[in-house]
Amino acid sequence: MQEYLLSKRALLLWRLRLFAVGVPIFAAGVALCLVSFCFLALSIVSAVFCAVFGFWYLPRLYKSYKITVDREFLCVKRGVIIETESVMPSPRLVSVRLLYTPLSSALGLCCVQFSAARSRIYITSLERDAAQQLVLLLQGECEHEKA
Amino acid sequence: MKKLRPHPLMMLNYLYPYLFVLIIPIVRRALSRAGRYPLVFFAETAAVVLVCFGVVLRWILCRIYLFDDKIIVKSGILFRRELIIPFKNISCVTEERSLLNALFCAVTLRIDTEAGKKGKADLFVRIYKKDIKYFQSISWSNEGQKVSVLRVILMAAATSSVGVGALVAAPFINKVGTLLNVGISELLIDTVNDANRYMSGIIPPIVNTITLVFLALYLISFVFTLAKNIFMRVYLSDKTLHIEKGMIVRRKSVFKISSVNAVIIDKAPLMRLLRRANLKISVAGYGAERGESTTLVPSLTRREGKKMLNEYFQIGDGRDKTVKADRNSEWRFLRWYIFLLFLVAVAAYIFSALFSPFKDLFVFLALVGVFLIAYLMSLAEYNFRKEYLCTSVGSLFIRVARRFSVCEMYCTKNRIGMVKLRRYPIDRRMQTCNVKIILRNENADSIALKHINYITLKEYYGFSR
Repeated sequence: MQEYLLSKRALLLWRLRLFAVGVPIFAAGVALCLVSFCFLALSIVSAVFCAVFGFWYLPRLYKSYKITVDREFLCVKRGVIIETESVMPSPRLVSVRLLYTPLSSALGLCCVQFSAARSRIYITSLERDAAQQLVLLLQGECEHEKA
Repeated sequence: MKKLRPHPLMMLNYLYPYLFVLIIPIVRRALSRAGRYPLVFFAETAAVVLVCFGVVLRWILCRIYLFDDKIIVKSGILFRRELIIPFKNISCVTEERSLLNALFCAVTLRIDTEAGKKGKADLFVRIYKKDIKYFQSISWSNEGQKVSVLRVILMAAATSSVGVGALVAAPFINKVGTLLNVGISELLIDTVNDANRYMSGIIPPIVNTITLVFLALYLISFVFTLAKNIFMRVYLSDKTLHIEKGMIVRRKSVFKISSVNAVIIDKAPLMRLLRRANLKISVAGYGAERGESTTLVPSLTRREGKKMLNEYFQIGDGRDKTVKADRNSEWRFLRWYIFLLFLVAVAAYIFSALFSPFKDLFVFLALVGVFLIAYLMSLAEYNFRKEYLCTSVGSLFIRVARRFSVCEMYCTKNRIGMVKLRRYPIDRRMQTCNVKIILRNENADSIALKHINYITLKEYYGFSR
């Protein structure tokens, strides 16, 4: 049985993404506060939301990620407030897809998508080496099952 | 290798998407505006001619090649499509004989596999009746046991609903109205109002109207279900299941036993009252409706169901590890319904006070609401006491009340596509979880159990870590 956890770079990636979305909203709100006070309120709310999301929610979410793979099952456990465990029997796996975005590949990360008939499991921001190892492992398992 | 051509009636299927939006309006306009035609009319007529030409070309270019081990279908005008279906991958073959088909010596053939688009057949084609013999190797038997009409009537009465009635009636009324250029919905409303006048008394007219509409929709659904399932014949062989049913459209379906994902015993409210149940099978890829299950034997008694499961599906009574709802979670099953009861009472009181002329209506609606919630509460209580998830060698047994019915599902572990466990903060405190088991088929049929003991689940089952 192999176990994988998400790296700190994944957290950095999501904080960068949050920053890229949050800062323009905050700046636009501050700039437009001369038009209406509502925009200032909007910018404060977005700043608070980004802070809570980036410094409270995301670290916990990334800590909660636990990926377990063995001959029988692929199991992904995650969640802060609502905890979810998705269990997919390894022989049911149809395809594994690795998705790279410019930012994630610069940080050496990728998104992994496991597909079975009508069901999918996503792992956002897994380390590239770990993802490839995971794919090889599952490939091995599938070949083993076929044999 | 045998080369087959689709029946010319297949052109009707190709034409159907354009029938109500293009062809019928043009024909109607042509008939009503004899002598005076604007330029747009000619453009639309040209479009119809083009569509008809495309349809004929599509029919001419479609070919079916039947080999010993596979079917190849070549179709398309500009972009040629080649569909290869190996026989070993076919999970279900359905033959449809309608009045139109019978008139033109045609048969509609539908082939489903585990793959493909949700709700769509992998191969849907009308072929000549004489060609159906070439599909005998993957197809039906003429033997079979008749299912009594009474059982089918019971099933139709138990499974019919106002929702299905509305779904059947609405497009029919709409399309017939468009075709005949008659306001059928207005006619129906007038009829309901006339009937209302005879029934006026203590019950307010709006209640009468709602009841009449609901009864009519239920009746439509009942007739529809009955016509779909009556004169049922079932034949069970070692490797295949054969079901033949229907009055106006006769359907013969053959399912591979190896493609049966799950056996479901479904107890609708009326069935529960009569202590009977429908035995359904869920087959990967089957049918164009929601869910991929079909009734194999309707209105079974408990004993008959058990016998069938034991003898035919080899599903025994042996249960090793059973997980039930947590003993301290009764209030969690009932809390929302209690809240809803409170909400209905408050809403009825407030609306009655605000709109006093409609007081009777609000009281009636509140009573219906209370009755409905009380029934759902009884199902929630049933879940608390009787829902379970248990296993025997390689098989899963699940019993749970879902929607308005009680359902028992039996499947082998290798038929499971995915298992999802969800835990809310209160679940973590009470060591419980909600489990959703998704079967591996096109529609991803699923079954969910609530407030199951998490520790026991972890201890017993390999799929929780």
